[in-house]
Amino acid sequence: MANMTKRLHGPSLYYASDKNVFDALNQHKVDTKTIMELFERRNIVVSKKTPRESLAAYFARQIYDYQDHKDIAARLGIAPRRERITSMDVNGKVDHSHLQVAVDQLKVELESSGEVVQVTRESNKVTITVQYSTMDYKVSEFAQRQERDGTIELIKTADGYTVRNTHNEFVDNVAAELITKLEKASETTLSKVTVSLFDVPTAQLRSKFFHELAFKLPGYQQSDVTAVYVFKAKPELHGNDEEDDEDDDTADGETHVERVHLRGRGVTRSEILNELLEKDDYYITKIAWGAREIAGAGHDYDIEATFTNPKDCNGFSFILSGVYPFEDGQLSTRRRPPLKHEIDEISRVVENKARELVTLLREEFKKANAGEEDAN
Amino acid sequence: MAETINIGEIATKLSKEIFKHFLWTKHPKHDDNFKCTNPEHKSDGKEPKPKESHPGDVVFYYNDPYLGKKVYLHTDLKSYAKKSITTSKLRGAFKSLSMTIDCAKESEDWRNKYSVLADEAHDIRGLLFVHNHDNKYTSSFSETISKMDLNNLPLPAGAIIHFLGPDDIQRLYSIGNDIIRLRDEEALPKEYGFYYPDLIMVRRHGDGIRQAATVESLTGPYLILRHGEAANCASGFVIYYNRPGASPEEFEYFLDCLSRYQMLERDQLIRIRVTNGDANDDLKSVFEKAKKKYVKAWGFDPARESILDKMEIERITSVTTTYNPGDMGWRT
Repeated sequence: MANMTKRLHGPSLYYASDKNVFDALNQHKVDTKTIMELFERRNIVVSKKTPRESLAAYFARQIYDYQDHKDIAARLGIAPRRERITSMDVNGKVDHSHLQVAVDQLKVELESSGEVVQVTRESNKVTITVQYSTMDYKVSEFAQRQERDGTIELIKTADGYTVRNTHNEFVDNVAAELITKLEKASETTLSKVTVSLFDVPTAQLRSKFFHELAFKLPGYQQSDVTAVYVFKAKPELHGNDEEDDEDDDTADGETHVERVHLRGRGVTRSEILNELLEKDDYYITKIAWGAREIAGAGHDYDIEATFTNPKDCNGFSFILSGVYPFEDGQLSTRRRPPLKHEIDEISRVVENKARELVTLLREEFKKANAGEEDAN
Repeated sequence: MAETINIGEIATKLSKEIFKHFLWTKHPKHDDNFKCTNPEHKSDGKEPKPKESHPGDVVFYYNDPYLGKKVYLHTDLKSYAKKSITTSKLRGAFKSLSMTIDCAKESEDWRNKYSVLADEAHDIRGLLFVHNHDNKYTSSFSETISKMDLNNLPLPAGAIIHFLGPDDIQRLYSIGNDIIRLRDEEALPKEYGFYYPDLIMVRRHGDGIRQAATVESLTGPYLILRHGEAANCASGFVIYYNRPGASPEEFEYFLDCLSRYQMLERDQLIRIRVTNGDANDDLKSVFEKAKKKYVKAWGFDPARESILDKMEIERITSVTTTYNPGDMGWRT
């Protein structure tokens, strides 16, 4: 697979060197209590007055086992987090048999490069789960390699399939590869419909997308907006003359606030936000809100939606970050992780609403433009 | 409480039957007190009085391979019946030993008594040895310890206390017996040492021959003994494996440790002797699986694979200690 990351290293578990352990134990995320527990497992009691560095050096000299490794890694907070979801519609003449061929090929290729793949078929849906590992050399040795699960779901629609996947580089690549294989198997070119406002460059319309998404999600009532991220791209300089650039640096161009993050309660009602949006031409690129189910159980869902690329407003993704269940006649104050069927349902309504809004806003932009041209 | 008689006898027996095999030396002085120099050290009870002295049952010592100095283990020998192994009793023992170590580290009296030369680099630590004489204590000592809060002991910065509970003593006694047995079968030469490779941040001191085991490795996950040839074995390593062998991942990690320590070589015999009483019944098949996964993960060639294939894994025979307080007048 050309664009997929090949395995460049040994297995995910490898014996940490004393230097790795020393560095890990010196990180502030590892508290003295954890270090004392590591010692206690070796029948050693150390003084809590001993400087952290000395304790780390002492422990680093010892032989470690798998449990020590897991304990340290867990303390460094690399337990896998739930990831965002992104989706795309692929439309065209494809049927189940094409999909089967593509999925089987993909599975063989992934497995040959050492990933663990599981495929589950239901009546109108195929789910592919890939266990894979990622490397990040920028973080501590213990956190560099992470084992993760990524999922790709293919849901049959009237026009083709909705491809919904965990949003990260690895799984995005696998999904793209799958679509290429699907095109080969069906010998057609599929049209790919993503949620993007690239061709709607008006700030007001881009903000409207998030407003409508949060306030008019069918079947849900907006209960609170807890975060809004606004963006205004740095104005591009015209002309290549260096002297002009220098002028800009010293004059008007010297300050530009590109993004502003607002967090709190009732953020959309705040004056700060409204000023940014109305007077200063900023637009919303990310929003976090509570969506309360109107019918059904009446739970309150914390949803976050964003464009990964704020400038072009593409790479749409979302996450159901938690649920406040409605229990015993009232809304619980304790947030719990979402259940699979809740993620499915929220994904479905968010995707549908987002697609509907994109179509609507494109129309609106065209009309406005046409109106302007007429006026001119 | 004054030390009772026969501590000397017990210490000699322990040394002969357990610690000698780990190449520790016992100081000839037993059951002696040294002066307390800290007025804050007080006895327990309703009217705490400043302590005059601290007790010392026996002192063991060895050269630490990474510190490059002698480690003296000021040892407190306790022998309790099952019902006496309680958190409050243990807390008292830890507290007393903490104060003892606090004083010992800066005591000329201590250094004179235990023949430490003025210019000798050394480290004095505590060792709490908790034996169960009625053999009825079947629970895990580490669980009892984990219920205690040992953070607030009067232990000065840099001070260290090691402890050995009934199950640890049992295990070390069994390892000692295993070494005797292997030597008797000429599957281990008379001379051997414990293996401590150079690390990244610290290098080994000394020539490594006849290196004593460190107290940390007696209670760590693996204890590696290095030996030369004997009539019935090639030179290599005997590894006392003190973990349950619960999953292939656990063994993979262990194999990677051996690889890092440059031990996976063609001419070296590697024998793994599992000491953990709770080890998995399926030990051998779990180990086989780990070897296969490890070979595959690193893409080993057949030559390298055959080195792993030659590794042996066995359980050691567990032997029960028979230290009877009635016979020896052990302090209870």
